[in-house]
Amino acid sequence: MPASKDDSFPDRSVERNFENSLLQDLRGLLSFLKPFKREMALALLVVGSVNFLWVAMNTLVGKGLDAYFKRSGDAEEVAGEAAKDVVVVVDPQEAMVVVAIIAGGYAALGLARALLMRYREPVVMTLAMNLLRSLRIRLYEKVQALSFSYLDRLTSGQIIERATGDVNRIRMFLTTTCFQVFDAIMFAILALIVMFYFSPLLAAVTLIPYPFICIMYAKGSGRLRYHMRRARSQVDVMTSQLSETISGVKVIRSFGRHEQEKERYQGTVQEVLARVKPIFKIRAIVLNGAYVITRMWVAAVLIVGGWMIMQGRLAPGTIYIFMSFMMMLLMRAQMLMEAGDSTQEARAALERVQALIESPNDVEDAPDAVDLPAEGKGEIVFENVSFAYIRPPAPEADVVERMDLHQGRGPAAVRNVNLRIAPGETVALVGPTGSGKSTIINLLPRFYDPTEGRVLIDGVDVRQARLANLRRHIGIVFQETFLFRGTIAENIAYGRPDASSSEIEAAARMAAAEKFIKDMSQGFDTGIGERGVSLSGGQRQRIAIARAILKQPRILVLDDAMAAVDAHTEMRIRRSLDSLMKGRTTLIIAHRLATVRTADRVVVVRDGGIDDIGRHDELISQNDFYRQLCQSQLQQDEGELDEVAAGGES
Amino acid sequence: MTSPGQSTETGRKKAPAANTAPGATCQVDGPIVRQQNEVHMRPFQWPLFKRIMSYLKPHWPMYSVGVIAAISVHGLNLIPPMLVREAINVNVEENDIDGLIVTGCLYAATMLLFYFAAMGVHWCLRLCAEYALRDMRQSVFDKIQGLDMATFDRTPVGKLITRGSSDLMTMTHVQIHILPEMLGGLITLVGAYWLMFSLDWRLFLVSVVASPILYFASSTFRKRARPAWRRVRRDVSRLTANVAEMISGVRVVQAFAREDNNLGRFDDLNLLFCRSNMRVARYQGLYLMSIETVAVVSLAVLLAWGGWMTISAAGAGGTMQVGTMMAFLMLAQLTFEPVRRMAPMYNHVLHAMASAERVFSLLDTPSRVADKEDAVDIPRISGAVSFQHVNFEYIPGQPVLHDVSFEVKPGETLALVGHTGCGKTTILSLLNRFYDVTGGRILLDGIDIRDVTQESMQKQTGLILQENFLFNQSVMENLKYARPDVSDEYVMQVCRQLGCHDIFSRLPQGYWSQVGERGDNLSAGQRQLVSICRAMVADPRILVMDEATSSVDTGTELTIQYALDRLFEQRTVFIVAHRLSTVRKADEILVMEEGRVLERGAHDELIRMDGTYARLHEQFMKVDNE
Repeated sequence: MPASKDDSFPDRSVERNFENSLLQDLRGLLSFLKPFKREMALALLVVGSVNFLWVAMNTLVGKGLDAYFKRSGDAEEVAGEAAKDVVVVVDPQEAMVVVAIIAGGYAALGLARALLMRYREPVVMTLAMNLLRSLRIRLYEKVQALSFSYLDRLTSGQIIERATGDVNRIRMFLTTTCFQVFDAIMFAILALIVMFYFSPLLAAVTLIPYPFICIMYAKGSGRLRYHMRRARSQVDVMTSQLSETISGVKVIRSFGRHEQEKERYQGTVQEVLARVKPIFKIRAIVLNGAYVITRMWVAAVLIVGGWMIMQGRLAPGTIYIFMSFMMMLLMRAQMLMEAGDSTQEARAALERVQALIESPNDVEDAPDAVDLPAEGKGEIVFENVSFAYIRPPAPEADVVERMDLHQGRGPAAVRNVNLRIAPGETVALVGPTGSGKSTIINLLPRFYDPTEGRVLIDGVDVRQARLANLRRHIGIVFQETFLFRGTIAENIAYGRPDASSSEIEAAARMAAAEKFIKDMSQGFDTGIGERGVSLSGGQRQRIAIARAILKQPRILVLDDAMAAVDAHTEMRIRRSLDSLMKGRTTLIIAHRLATVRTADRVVVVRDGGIDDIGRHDELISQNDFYRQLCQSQLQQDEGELDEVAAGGES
Repeated sequence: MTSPGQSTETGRKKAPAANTAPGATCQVDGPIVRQQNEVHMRPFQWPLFKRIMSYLKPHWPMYSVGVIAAISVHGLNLIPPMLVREAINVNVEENDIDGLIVTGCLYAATMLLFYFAAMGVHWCLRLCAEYALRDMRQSVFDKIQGLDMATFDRTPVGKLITRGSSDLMTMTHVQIHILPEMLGGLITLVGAYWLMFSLDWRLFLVSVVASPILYFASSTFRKRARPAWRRVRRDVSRLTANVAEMISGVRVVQAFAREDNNLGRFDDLNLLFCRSNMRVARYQGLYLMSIETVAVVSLAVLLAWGGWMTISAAGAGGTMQVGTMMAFLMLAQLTFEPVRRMAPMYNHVLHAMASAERVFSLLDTPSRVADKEDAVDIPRISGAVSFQHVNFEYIPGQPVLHDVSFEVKPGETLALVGHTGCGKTTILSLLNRFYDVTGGRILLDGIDIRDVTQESMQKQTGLILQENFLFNQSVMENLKYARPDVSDEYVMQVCRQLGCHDIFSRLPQGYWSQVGERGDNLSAGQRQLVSICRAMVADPRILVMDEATSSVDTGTELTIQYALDRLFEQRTVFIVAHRLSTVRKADEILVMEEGRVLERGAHDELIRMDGTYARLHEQFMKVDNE
């Protein structure tokens, strides 16, 4: 259940504890903006100016109203009581000037503001996009460089969420929330200056409700946040239930369980409704209340203002200014309501993103890293190598915990392995599941570093070799085939994007893949992946083998790479590999007896250590463990079963 | 400040990762991405609209209250400007402090009413929407559960999820907002114009011109920005897909030292994404500018003309007072809002039409496999199965089974053998009545399966699928899936019998370990074992099984074999076999080719017949002797 953790929030104050203080986090967040000082300054300038112009415009309207009516008032006075029905004509010239100044000034300011608004969105967006891009690239780079120790601990969902959700939360905070806060503070200052300038008394009266409103919003939004989170998690439950029902429809039907599923879903949906209700309640009562209080307060401003006008202490137009500022302040307060929420989210996101970006990488190039000797042929030496995995994280551990490798190591997965493989040898690693075969192999390209001892390739300690160079010389085919979205040719050329099409075809031929590829409508240009054709497991493995062959590696590693290929095809592939890898080294983990039999040497792996080394026929007669293994563990294809059984008995 | 990209991006939260099964060619396109291939907007259609609104019918009293409240909110907004005018023009002018206080109190009272009206909107209207949403969610769910399997085959999971989630949200939005928005907007416009007209008809004429221009500007930019938005959505999904693929394949990336190359491609996508967002931002800037310009110009004209009339007092209508001018400015600003909101509302309606069309076409899909009206519950059967001249086609005109007839005695195991696409799996599906036969009939203990209720029949057939689907619950709950009422002890007893007890109890939380989404917390072998035990707990008379092809380690394989042997005892078993050992153990083998039964018999007989089966068998054997 995706968000069940959220259900257990004990109280309504869901503020979580952060490692760092608010100030530290803010500094951390703002540091992302450092490279974009210019963009930032421009954006702030535009946003600030838009604000400033609004204040100026509304002040002008207020003063304009006064100017108009002072004039008309004068006119009436001139006319005197005696001649009330006499139309007094003010000098039209003078009237024109006043009107032109007021209306013209308003229009000029307004148009300037409109022009700025034309650029406000793009300017802020430029900042946002630059920020987003730089953050994403940093994350992407980091994730690609993570060692397997980290990768084992993270789920792909967690990483994707960092690269999309979290990065976006930080972006939102820096380019929306920060601007809102800036906007609100700046507006409040400008409005206060203007209001106190015109009438300190009325300004004081106007401001009375705002502290209460802010408190109401703060309290209300805290509770709102809590309930929204609860509702959201229930919606997640609902969606996953729906998706489960769809993917599991056959199971549901075959067990005749529609009714129960229907009831379960009804319960979930009803619960969504129940969790949504408090949200509406808070909005209807608290937040709506805060809004209405402000608007009610306008009445007080009106009464006090009106009284002051009567006293001759205030011009009527000033009331207009005050009333319009009141509504604007209210809008700003509403906006700030979400700022707290967004800050919390951004801090949490920062914590996770930092954990990812700033974690030290345990496998990286040594400062004095060298390339493997150019004339090397792929000699491998394991010198007293031991390795233990870092303890896996608890299932509920978050990313910050998962990125911490100081969790201690588990029992040794590989123990004191000493092994020398000469160039040109084909060696099969055999052993029960979990005995450490794959682990031994993973130490070669430095997917992990050994905890003790060292691994040498062509005389160079792999920890001293340049990673990119080292990995170029090792062709590896994983147990689980992963192909990328793209054409078959692109996939085969994955390690050497510059390979010619004839090279690609040759690699495919050796992997016994050429025929089925050519049979496809678009041959090597057939798209695979989501929207492309679907390949069988065996076909995919053969493409993966072709991909490894094309690199022309010194060392070819086949980690149970042909499980989905039928035995007949496997033989063909092995034969072509023999010629390709002549003079180079091949390491095979296989579950087929037929494969093991043809290896130059068989290494029997048992409990992380090497139990025995030798040729298949020697081992089968000398080593009981190996014989048992052949009987029980190796996947036999029917006919062989009898043979081994017979061999064991006789 | 709206932020393009944000809404689509956060909405996808866990969609991509969940589907990426290890070893599979990357499948990152979750529901959200698929949704992109669907139409976003459709023209307005009255019948669809009526049908959307019909979901409010059961909640009409509440809805009516909400609508009235919404209209009141708009209406009440018209009062303050008039009260301000009263205060400035009359009370202040006449030095009437008592009158001023009365006006102020009226103002406050209006706002109090406003509070209750807004409360009505928040509470009644929104709640109505939630009720309607709940009803729609449930009916979509029911429909999905009742769909025949052919529809499932045709429709990707993501699409069906969209029907039950985001499509409904789009519809609800329109459902509740359209009426209040339109009526409320109308009230505001008519009321404000009428008040303005009665205050001064010349100024009214000035401000009324602004509305059509505003509407035009708003709808034009919306239309113009549409392709830009589409591009943003496309780029977001590409970006996410790229990240997801890199992450799923990161081990291969490292093994092939492709980091720099990938980073370059990722940055290209990033730049594209930035550019399309900038395009949207520019449209938004233009839009804001045009709206702002219209508003500023119309207010400036008001100021100029109003001012001219006041000062010169030359006009025929006499002088204007300051309070009137204030009221006018406030009213004019009120009219901008509804006009500005009309274009987005129209957009929402078009979106809702597209969603409604999809949802209703789903709801209207007839279920081809339905219980007959006079269907009865089938009694406990012994397990005799008989196919009589069965024909079947998924797509009319493309038969998959031709005149298939055979009989299986209770307790027998029948293995189905043949090349992919020969119709083996179809036989299994027909037996479960996921589809109805297009010719002939299927009898269980002599009863046609179409004459009985599906539920009673399906309770006596168990199914084990290749992919071993598990529910995201604990192992125990999964085991009890068919019979939630049995005791834990019973379940453990069954597992012990099948030799799986140790394996389950060794899981981190034993039987109560969560299997995770799609059973991710368990290995392939463990998943198989759970689904075998689940079938055993269900204790069906007939077991239908599509043997898993995924390779598991040999230790687990042995346990699986043992468990299956126990499970197969005492019941009729149909199995699509992928392993020779399974086939050999079967009582009878049905060799199929292109929808026909070619050969039938026990292993030894078929080998002696030296036909298709013998050749198939030989192929298996030959390979090993090379």
